[in-house]
Amino acid sequence: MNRRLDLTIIFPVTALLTLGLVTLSSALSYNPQKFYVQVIWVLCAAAVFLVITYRSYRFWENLSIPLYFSTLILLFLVLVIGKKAGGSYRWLDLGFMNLQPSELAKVAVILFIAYRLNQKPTLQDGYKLRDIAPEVVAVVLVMFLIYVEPDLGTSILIGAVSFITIFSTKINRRQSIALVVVIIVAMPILWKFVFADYQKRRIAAVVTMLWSDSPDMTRADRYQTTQSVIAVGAGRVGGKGYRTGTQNILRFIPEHHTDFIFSVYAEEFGFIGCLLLLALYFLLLYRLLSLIPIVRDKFMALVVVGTAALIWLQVVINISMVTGMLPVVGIPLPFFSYGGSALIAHAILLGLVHNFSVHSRYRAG
Amino acid sequence: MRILNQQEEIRNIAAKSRIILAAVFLSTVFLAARLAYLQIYRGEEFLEKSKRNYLLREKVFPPRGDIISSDGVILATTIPKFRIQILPALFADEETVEENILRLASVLSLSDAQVSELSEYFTTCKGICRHSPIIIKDEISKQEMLRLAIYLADIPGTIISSFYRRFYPRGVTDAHVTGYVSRVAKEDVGRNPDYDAESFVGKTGIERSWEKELHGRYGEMWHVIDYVGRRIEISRMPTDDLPPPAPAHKGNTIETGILSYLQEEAAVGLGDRPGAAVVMNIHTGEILALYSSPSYDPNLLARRRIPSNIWREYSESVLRPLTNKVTQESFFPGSTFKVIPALAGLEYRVITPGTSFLCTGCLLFETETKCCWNKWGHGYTTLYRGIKESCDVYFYVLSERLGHRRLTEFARVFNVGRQTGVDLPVEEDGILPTVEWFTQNHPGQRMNPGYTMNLAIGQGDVRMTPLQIAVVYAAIANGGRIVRPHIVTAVIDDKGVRRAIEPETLRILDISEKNRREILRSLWGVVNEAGGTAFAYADHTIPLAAGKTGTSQVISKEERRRIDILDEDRYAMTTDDALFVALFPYSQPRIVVVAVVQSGARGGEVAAPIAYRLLKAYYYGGRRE
Repeated sequence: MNRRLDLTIIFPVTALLTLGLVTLSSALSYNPQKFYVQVIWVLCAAAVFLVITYRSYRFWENLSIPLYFSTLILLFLVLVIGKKAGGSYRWLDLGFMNLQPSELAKVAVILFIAYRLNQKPTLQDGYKLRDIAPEVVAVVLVMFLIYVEPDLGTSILIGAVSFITIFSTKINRRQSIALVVVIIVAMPILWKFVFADYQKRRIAAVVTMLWSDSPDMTRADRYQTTQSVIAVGAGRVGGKGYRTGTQNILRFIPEHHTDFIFSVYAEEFGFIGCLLLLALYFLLLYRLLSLIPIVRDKFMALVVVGTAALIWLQVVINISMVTGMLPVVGIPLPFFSYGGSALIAHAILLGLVHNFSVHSRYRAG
Repeated sequence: MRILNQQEEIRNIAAKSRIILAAVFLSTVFLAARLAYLQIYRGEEFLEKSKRNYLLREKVFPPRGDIISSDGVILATTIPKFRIQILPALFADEETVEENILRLASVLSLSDAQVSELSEYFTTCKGICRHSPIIIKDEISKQEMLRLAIYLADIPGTIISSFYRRFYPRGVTDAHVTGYVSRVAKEDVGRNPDYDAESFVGKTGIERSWEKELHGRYGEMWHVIDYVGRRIEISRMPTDDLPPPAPAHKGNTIETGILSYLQEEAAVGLGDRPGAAVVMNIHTGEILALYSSPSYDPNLLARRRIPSNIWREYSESVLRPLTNKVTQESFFPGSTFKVIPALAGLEYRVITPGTSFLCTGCLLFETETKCCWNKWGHGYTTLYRGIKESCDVYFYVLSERLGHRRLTEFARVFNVGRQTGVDLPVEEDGILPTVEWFTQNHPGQRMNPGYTMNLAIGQGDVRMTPLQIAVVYAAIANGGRIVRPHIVTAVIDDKGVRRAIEPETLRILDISEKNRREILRSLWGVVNEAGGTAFAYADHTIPLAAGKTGTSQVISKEERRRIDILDEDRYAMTTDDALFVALFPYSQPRIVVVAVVQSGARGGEVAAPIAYRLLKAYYYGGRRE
């Protein structure tokens, strides 16, 4: 058994988690108990990470399909007996915790795609769309179940991550061009039939916000974004200082400990802190993507791509949302936002990547 | 077709991952650029915006300035009071609400009705309502507050706050001098745009006309508030950018010419009869006493909320206690008006002091008969006796010779029908029925000599406020100066610097000294010579005064005859008004007194004793003789 650690992965993740906890302790200073729960979750996530690292990755690989189907069941369950919060059914009350199946779905979809495509050999000029149709259907099914919760943001995120993962393999060029055309045509139809009014309003609001100082949106829609932009801007270069962000401590931003945690960080640690944060994410993603040439099979490579895409998209979407460039969609900031489900999901994915890194080098060395 | 091996697959994915990495890098730079824009380029702007979020400016209310009399008695002052409020959000949740209400009830000894009202309030109060405090007990004293504070400490969400309550120590006596204050209403905001909604503003009297001096300057204090507007203890908020507090400045003290003992005498003299009394310095226009009966208690009205039963009682009473009858209500001056045609007759040389007219009790002209009050007639009457015995026929004849235009022109220079310019709000104009006024108000009618005759005896359409009458008599006594009456003599600021209000003369009339003396002499006769209309009612224990009685019909005799005698209220209300004007002392006049008793029936008998009460009190300087 190899007990070496890949510090190039562990260092940025630990740094991000530490900054995350520091920020949360400030955001939750009005309710320290909630903060301790998060600390316990971080410890649990670390345990999951280590357990996954030190078992043969084949064992986990074979769990991909069962994980996908159990996730489907949980997504069904959440629609039936889920807990309602903010107009959506997103949580399952397990008594000791509220499980968010959509977080698990992020893992399940990545593993499912990687597992399935690993089984399917690629032809010289790539997969035909017909070949990847079952995977696409599987992804769309998950997206649909999450969309009806409703949680459009996560649904689109899973679609985008799946898209990147699938398209990182070789796809028939002619067919992929055709697909892009179909998507462009489908967009207006989606706008008309799929988006709810409040979603359209939010999107329209953010589009106008980019060039207008007085965007035309309802007060409730506008408030959260306005307040978070104020918080980010008020941090200026050096930040207001730990636990002295007024937007944070006086709770002007709704959901400031979950989806809007970045506003707390930006207010208290300023532009310098934000640069450090972006650097840490970039370092982690760079390290993940540079693992691809040394992994041993297609499953590993696709899991790494999926994990990197997931973290990257969440960071970009979340920070864009908090800084007022995207509508308010329920995408948390990885390693920062309050919530156990997301931590465990990331621990599973990073645990696998770490597993690949440690084991591939062991073999190679 | 060839199938790729694992190595090629991975190489393929690695190639794609470089595109992803490039995208990651670009998006990171993009986010950094956005953050730089918000935090560096627009950072200061957002810092200001965040301050606007959490800094709340609280106005500190200034105590209102005092109003004092010239003999040093406080007419209006400010006392600190306390109120107990509860904040529903902190007071109780759904489970504890009943229990906490009962605890509160036992501490504050609330009635059952109040308890059930409170429980009802809590069942409907949701959302933002739970964050706005409600008043449970208002206007409690400091001792009471200290006693209750001990018990209230155990009940969550209770707030004890202090405020200034206007207090009028002599209440009813000075009500029409001081006026009263009440909460700023919508119509006051226009006049005082910077006032806080919880502020009090003068509604009538000095409180209103001197509002700017009395109000004082707000101070300010800054608080930190959270997202629902709750105040946060500053010690919990490490912010050093709170602006420093500024203290409130007390309003200026207003010193009036009022003599407190004259006020008391006027109140006692009028008693419960409706009417008015005013005492004015004839040289300066300084008002020494001003009383309107019935009066009201300003302390009842200076509350945060005026009890509706009290307001209804005051505003709906036919005796109109809220109206200042000295300046806001005009009366028929009756015979007190006669000094104007008399002086006009002398000045226009229509008569001399020796000219006499025959009074046989009634005068026939055209188709009308106009009678004197004395139906036996006064015989041949000169000006002196015409005034002394108040002969109506004398003035009928005089007015015929004068003509309407000359009479009203002369009255106009005495400011009849014009506001006196007193420093009290909403003054009544009165009416001087000039020819123009007549054509405007009686369209299609022809003015006949009878109309002028009525004017000459202060009837018909002429209307004057008691203060206007005082100004006319003051001008006769002071050599023809029309003074501007004023009640405030000085403003004293919070550093004790006294700024005197200079008396003003509106106009100096060119009246011959001889004619003026003749009128004064006749007025002397009214009170000091047997046969004078007030001789029997004058107090001859003080130095000599001069005066004039007036008894004015409020409706015509025919109209009065039509009133059902059993309708007692209406019948009583249409009884003649009694007036008396006095100048004192006769040798060297200093003050003028006007007393009016509505429906008093006889000027000499009813109004003169009230005026004499005031003269006597003035003479003895408030000391009991």
